[in-house]
Amino acid sequence: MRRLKRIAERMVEGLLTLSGGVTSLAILLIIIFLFKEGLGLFNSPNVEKGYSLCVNSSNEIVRLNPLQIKNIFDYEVSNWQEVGGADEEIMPFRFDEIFSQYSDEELGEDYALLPQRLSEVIAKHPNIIAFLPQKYTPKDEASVKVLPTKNISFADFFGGKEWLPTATPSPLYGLLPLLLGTLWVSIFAILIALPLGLGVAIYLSELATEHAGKFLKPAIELLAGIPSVVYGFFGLVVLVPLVQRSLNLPVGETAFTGSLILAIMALPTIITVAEDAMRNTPRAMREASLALGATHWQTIYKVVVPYASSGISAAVVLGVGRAIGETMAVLMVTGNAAAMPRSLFESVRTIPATIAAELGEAPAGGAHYQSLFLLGCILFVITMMVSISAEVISKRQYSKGV
Amino acid sequence: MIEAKNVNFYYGNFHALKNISMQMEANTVTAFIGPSGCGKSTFLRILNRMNDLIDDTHLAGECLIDGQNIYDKSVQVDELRKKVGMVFQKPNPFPKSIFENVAYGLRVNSMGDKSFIAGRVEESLRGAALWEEVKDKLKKSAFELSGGQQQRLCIARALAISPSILLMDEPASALDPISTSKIEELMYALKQKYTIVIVTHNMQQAARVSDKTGFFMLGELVEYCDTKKMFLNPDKAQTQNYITGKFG
Ligand SMILES: Nc1ncnc2c1ncn2[C@@H]1O[C@H](COP(=O)(O)OP(=O)(O)OP(=O)(O)O)[C@@H](O)[C@H]1O
Ligand SMILES: [Mg+2]
Repeated sequence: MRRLKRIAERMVEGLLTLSGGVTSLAILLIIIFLFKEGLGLFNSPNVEKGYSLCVNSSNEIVRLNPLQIKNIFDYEVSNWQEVGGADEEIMPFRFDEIFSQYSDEELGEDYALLPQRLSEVIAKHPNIIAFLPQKYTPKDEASVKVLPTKNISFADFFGGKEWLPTATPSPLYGLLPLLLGTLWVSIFAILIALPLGLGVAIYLSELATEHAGKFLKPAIELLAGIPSVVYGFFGLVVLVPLVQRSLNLPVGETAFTGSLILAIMALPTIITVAEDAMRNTPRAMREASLALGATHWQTIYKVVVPYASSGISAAVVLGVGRAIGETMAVLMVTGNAAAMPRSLFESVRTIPATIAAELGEAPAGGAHYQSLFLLGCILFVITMMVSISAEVISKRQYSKGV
Repeated sequence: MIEAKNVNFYYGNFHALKNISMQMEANTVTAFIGPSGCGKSTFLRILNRMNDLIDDTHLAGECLIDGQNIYDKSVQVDELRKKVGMVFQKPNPFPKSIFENVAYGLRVNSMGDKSFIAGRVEESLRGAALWEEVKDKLKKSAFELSGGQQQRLCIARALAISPSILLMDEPASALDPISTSKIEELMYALKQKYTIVIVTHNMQQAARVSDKTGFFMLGELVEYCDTKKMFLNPDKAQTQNYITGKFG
């Protein structure tokens, strides 16, 4: 009988250890997968895969970066001088233009003569830059120079100010607009939600009558359970027009609207966690303070709030975490312009919204797909930093006992 | 002077104190003794209105300090508690530094500037016989002190705002004999300035430190008289039995 019990205990112990191990392993594998896929971006060429850029061999240009390529084909840069060449007008040439210049016969059966014709075109125009499938790229080195492609660099990604993953010939994967969009929306959301949430938490744990608490608490917990798409819908229908009208803006889909909706969504978490922390302040602490002639209010801010500080910072982390990672609602109300945000009252796009919006159309394994994984990694690193710093803060407060 | 007139106290429906009437003179030490759960702490906490914090409680009767009914509407509770200090049954220092623990009462009552506070903190720690042990680590967390040191810190904290009445709920229950005798000496010294009410389960202690003793049982004040009389020749048989340990 005794032995049976001991064996059963051993088994339960083993089972618990196993489940702990499996969970840790799963988490580790997910992280490895995320980073492996994401870092693959830096092995992708900075020109669309399977294509190359060719110039006339007389052109002094030796290399172009993705932004320069994009600007040339968008006609924003029109002189070679601007990208380090001679003072000549640039002539961008896209592959399909060849079909308007030559008839099918001239291109030969199965387009056998296509490379030759392309070579002729390039030879004829000294200032041309042609974007061609590698399959048809002329091998004629006397008149055609193929620009070397480089892999996308860290600087392209982390320093890039434009996010145009579907641009041809050279997609741009600039993190900055998305990162800033995320940070702006989240920081302002927290700036709104934190004072409000702490205020309500203090009210609930210290001031509310039993009656008010009985009604408010379940109501707040109910709010936490509403799916984010519903919040997004509410934001779209109510907040967007409200923000637009009351602030007299051209559009209501702004970073500010996103912050508002995020603040509303983060509030229940912040309130519940902070309130629990304050309620857990031992009665002996409050009594000690009151017995020394402190008022109720002094007791709250000098004893209860400091005592609950680690719980309160947990509330902040959960709130920030929710704000940074939240996808659906933000996607619906921020307008999603992937441009560098200049003010709170402009459309922005956040990292999670980008992943959600673009993952469906990005071909698996391609550079665009990898870039979205890399965005996921960035998000992961940010949330990890937030929770580590919260941990450090609450630890320090506790050990110092201040 | 403290005066209770027909005090009855209820936790919900539970009648915890029954018709207590007694007077405690200024500059005396009064001890409360009695079996566990008889209402000693409850009565002590009535004297600084600590029971106000507990929901669903009810008090009947009058409680006067220096002639003023402390449950009168015009009384400011925080002012009252400044005058009536309390040391709790379990040490309850704040999660702050040793210095800040003692300075707390001075700060919340905006008593004095920086140098005054520093002086008063030292004075109070000396008063609680703790100064020599902590003078080199005033900035350390109070949680790093032993239980007995923490209790003396709580006494220092109560002394810092110089109350006129000091309520002590078993202040020595967590202390070793040396600290206990220090606290007892302290009470003797404090008697010159303060009116002290102490709850204790230690009969010798009650006999040593107090001028008068009250014996509580089941919410009633069975006997209240001079300590000498209480221990040598009590009126009631119940008291005699309790003191000699025949029940309890
Ligand atoms: N917060 C409370 N709510 C309900 N009943 C309480 C509360 N505090 C104390 N009581 C009850 O009141 C009675 C008196 O309690 P009290 O703490 O005053 O006893 P005590 O004499 O101090 O005992 P001890 O010597 O063990 O400290 C006890 O029966 C106790 O159960
Ligand atoms: Mg007690």
